[in-house]
Amino acid sequence: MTTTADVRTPVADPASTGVESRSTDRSVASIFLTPVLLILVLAGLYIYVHSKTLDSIERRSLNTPFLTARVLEHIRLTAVSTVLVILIAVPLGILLTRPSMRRATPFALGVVNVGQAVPSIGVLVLLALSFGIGFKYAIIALVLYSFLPVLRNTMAGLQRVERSLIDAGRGMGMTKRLVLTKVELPLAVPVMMAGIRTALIINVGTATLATFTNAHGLGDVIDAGLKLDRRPVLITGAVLVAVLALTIDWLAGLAERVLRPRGL
Amino acid sequence: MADRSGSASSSGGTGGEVISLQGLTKRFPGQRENAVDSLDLEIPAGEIVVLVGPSGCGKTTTMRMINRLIEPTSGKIVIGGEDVTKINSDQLRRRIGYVIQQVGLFPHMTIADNIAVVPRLLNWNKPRISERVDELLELVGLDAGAYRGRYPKELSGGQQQRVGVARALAVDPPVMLMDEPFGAIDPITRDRLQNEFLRLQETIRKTIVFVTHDIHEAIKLGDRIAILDKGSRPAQYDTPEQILAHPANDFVVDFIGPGASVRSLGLTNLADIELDKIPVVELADSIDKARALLARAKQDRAVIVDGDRRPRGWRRAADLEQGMSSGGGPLAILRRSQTVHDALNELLRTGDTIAAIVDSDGRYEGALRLETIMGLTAHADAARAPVKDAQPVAAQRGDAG
Ligand SMILES: Nc1ncnc2c1ncn2[C@@H]1O[C@H](COP(=O)(O)OP(=O)(O)OP(=O)(O)O)[C@@H](O)[C@H]1O
Ligand SMILES: [Mg+2]
Repeated sequence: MTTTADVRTPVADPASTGVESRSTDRSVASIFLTPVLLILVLAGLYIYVHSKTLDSIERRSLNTPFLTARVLEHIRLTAVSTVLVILIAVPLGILLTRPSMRRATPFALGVVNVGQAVPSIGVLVLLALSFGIGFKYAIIALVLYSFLPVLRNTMAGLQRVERSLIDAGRGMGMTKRLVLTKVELPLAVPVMMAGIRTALIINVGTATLATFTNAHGLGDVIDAGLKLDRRPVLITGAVLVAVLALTIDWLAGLAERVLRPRGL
Repeated sequence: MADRSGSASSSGGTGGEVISLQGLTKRFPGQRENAVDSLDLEIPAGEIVVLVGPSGCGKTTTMRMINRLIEPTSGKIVIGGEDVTKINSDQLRRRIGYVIQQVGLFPHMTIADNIAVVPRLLNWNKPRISERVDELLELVGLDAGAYRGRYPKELSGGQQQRVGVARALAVDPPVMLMDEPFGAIDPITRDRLQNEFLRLQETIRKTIVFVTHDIHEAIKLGDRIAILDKGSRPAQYDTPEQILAHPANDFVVDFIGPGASVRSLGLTNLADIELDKIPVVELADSIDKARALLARAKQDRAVIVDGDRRPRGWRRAADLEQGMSSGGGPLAILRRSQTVHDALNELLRTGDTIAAIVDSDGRYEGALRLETIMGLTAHADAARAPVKDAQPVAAQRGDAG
């Protein structure tokens, strides 16, 4: 098996045309539908919570300042980890696809693949726990866990840029750096964005477990609901995580659309 | 066609520069043989030189060493008197137009942006770039207003190919490299693009190195053809006419394939061959004078011309009894700018064995007999006849493929 095949098979692929135009039509509809649906869900949650008479334990969790703080923590965990992943995995992906680095590619991918294959989310959290607790360790765990899709898609996106285009660019006297920034990266954007979107989804979900490393987030709410056996609290936490995940995915979808170069 | 061979040698201004390859050699790492083996080739300014040869013989490698996309193992490349073997290769490439087989237009850039790549590298200002883009689009036959804002995928293959050529011409480089630029196009469009390309070259007069493995394309486009054997070794480097008429060796014979003699007739101008001389009789002349002329020339027929020396018909000695103005079938008349192939066609059409050749004003200049044409092809065939057993050549080509 070639390394190319290794890289290409598991990639989220927005490339093949026939399927893609249909999914674009669908996503046009979902661009408008998703926010409406999410607002409806939130409204439903609000009505549900207000229809209950809450005891003092429930009231400690189910109030606006508390929930807002947890949501913001959750967003912060997701954003910081995703940005870090992009900052590390994208340059690494670029580096590993340079012709001079071609020999290191299978090795690097192997290491990252092992990283992905071994740990379940829980194992990673345990790993972080054994080193320490707090925001920093939650972030490390999240970065490790969402690293592969970004790295893999960056490499795949760059590798599937047609050789002839790079040739044409070099043949016209573009420097290697210019070919990278003006040709390869713009053309790799759709595949790279798919990887980043995957990483975001992983992070927003996995950040729920950050509560076990004392890094808070919406995991706190769910955890409280479970531990104290309070159904409204549990439901609120779960619904908020789901709504947040869908919102972020929706935003990422918008970004994908805007950043996709025209003409492709 | 007629003025093509002329354009190569005419002293009219050329936008090109001489390319001189000296002992150019490339050995790829881990290979036992040189992909290009000590190639010496002089490419005259303003000419189209076609590199043609079997797959793997080193055509692409040779071409890509000229703009140093592949660095030579040894040897020298001199362009316009300057040794470019060691200069900054990015800067060198901005001075050399490059068209690749796959066209290679950037799909995420508009047509205008694609053409503007090299002008931007050279920091041209915006108005100048925009003006140049429009000019180039018109030059390659595309409406600037309609196409400059489009993306490559919104163009047909042939249109993309033209944009590829426009892009390579953007900063008016003296030298163009074209690697099978018309390879991936249907035969009819390819033929049209080739014709347009030849017309374009008449105005731009670049030095063009053109790679193809299609001998027909080579004959059509090349001012000169280098037929390359393994290791980019030139088996023959000459004009298409010379290669067809006098192939240097078995390899060339085998490569140009059957039908070469007939094709070579299409490249031979009537102006370039010696015409047959037969007696000329004016309409006003007497029958006796005509008879005397025929007898003295020991020829079977004479041509009748009018007061303006326009050919009117043939007369055999036997026909002369019927008078000067009557008789004679349709007359095959050709201008000297036409080819021997045209003459052969015309003879087949009229069913005659002799054609009258006239100058551009229609005045009689001489005759061309069918035997003479046969002689031309026989001569070419004799030159082409394999000297040795053809076996080694076939084997060689088999290896190369
Ligand atoms: N990057 C490379 N590394 C190793 N060998 C190469 C490389 N590029 C070309 N070769 C070898 O050099 C020889 C010449 O190749 P080249 O591409 O110049 O052939 P070509 O005449 O253009 O053939 P074609 O008509 O098939 O395009 C071939 O034997 C080829 O295998
Ligand atoms: Mg080639």
